[in-house]
Amino acid sequence: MLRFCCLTILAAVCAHSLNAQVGCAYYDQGCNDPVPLVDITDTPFVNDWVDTEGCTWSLTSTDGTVSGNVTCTMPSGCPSVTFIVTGDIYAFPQIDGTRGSTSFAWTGSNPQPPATCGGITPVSSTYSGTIQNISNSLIITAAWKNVTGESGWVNVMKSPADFPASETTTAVGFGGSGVYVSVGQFRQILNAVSGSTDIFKGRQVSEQTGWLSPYYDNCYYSGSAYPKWTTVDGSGWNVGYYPVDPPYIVNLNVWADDYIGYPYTYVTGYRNHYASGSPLCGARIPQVMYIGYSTGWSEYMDFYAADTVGEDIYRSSVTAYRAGVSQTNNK
Amino acid sequence: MSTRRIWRGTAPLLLAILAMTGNALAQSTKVIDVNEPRPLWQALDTLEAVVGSTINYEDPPFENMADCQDVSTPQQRAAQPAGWRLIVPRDGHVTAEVRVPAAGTVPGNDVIFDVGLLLASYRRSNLPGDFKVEQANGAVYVTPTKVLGADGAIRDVTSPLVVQITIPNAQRTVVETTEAILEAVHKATGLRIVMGAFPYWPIETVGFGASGEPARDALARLFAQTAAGPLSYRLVFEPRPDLMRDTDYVLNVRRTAYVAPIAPLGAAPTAMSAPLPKGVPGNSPFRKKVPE
Repeated sequence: MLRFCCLTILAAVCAHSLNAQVGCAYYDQGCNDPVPLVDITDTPFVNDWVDTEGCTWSLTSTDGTVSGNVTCTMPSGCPSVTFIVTGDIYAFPQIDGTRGSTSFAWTGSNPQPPATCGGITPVSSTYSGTIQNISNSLIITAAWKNVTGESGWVNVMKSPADFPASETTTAVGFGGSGVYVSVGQFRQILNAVSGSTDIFKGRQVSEQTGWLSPYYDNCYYSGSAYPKWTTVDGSGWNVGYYPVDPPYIVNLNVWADDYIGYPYTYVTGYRNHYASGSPLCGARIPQVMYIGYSTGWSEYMDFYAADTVGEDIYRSSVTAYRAGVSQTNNK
Repeated sequence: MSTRRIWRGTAPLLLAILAMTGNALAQSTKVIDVNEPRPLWQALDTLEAVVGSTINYEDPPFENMADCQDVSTPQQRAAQPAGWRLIVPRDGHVTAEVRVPAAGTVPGNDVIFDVGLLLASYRRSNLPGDFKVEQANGAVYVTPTKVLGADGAIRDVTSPLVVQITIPNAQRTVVETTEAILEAVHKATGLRIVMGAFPYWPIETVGFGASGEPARDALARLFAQTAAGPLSYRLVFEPRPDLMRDTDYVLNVRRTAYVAPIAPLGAAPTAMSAPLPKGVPGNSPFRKKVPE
């Protein structure tokens, strides 16, 4: 945001979605996410895929190869049957402006126990289809076909949905030159319960202004030519947008970057108007983070973290803050 | 479990307008009431949110201390060097009752009528300077026409952004392009304008040039090229009696009628759950019925 950060460099600092596909800075207008998902299950033992045919898929995916098992209920009085799963997922190439998607094909075979029970014989079957990004935590519709030639459609849902256990913020410098030289750049990792470093790739996060203290801009004075910093901008970010380039992105659960701070014109203006104090003045704005979900029919967001962003202006430097992490630029 | 749905799109703005109006569905008017320095700036911000139309505003060039005031507090003065002051334009009261559209934006003539109500209130309060209202570039412009001169006499003034400028065609960031326009104004008028608030995405670039074009028209053209959506500006003058001023004007750009989203109270971390959709009846993928 550059508005004071967080996007309107507006008025002051902002939280801004710099290194993200164009569009996410104006999240209220919608933001096409081109990032495909590359992992399907937050393993080990965090969640499964449950379908509407009474089967539960416990899967892992490594470099596109899927393995695990699927257990299906059988008629009353019969034991559940477990199948060995083999398969794959394929992330289509990421193209700006095109929503990211990943194809999948999972086959359950070698039923155990294999015997007919209650008039039902367990048979091998394959599920296939496409998972749109953002919905990697929710419901997908699969086409199925079994070894006897029967086919149909089934809905599959991950349970429970993937949800960040926490978020780690790293200070990565200031926003270049000109008015951005005083705007701090912060990079975040969404931490998974399992420690997975790719399960949130293909998801979206966004920010809103919170309510908690500290909440102030004591640089502003009534009549100031610079607007008061009162909000974050409401930006959004595509998680895992940079798979390789820039190479310093090493975790695919990264969203980059949140830009926080007063534009440099504010800094010089306030320095001229405050002769003493250390810091001369500063601001703190509560920030609330949301992660997006999609069911294929509707999209919504859920709260996952709350923190504070802000900046202090000193006579010859600025210090920007996000979630307890700070960095200083001697400008 | 406290999962909530927070709809994107126009919902935040709608909620903000609802909050401002109390109950927009039941009321067709809203009272705008501002009492502070540069009250037209804040009043027009509010009007813009109500009517959804782009309204640009420019300060008069305050140069007489009679149009200014010191807003420093005793505590601030005690902490600062002797003689330190915070000089800003004289504050005052602006109020008007404007119509709230049931949906969409208000026709341009109605917006001008509402601006006229605010301007009439400004004049009644005997606040600094005077203004005119124009329509151009699909927006409303409120620009200064008179100000109290340093010599105590009222003098005519014009917007510095009506000056014609030329900047070479080039691919630049939106901020760099804006700064190029402002630098061209500086060369033509001697007036220094710096960027204040702006909603631009830092690496968003545009191909842009201008040849003998009024600066405000160039700005309007630039605004139309950005992905930020409709934009308006507030050109704010640093009063000349302010000895600590470091520029003549600050250009604050804002997204027209945009209200940054505010998180609902009571948010708490939660996992999400959703009901499974109904499956398709018929055959079963893993179960084959044995013929009897």
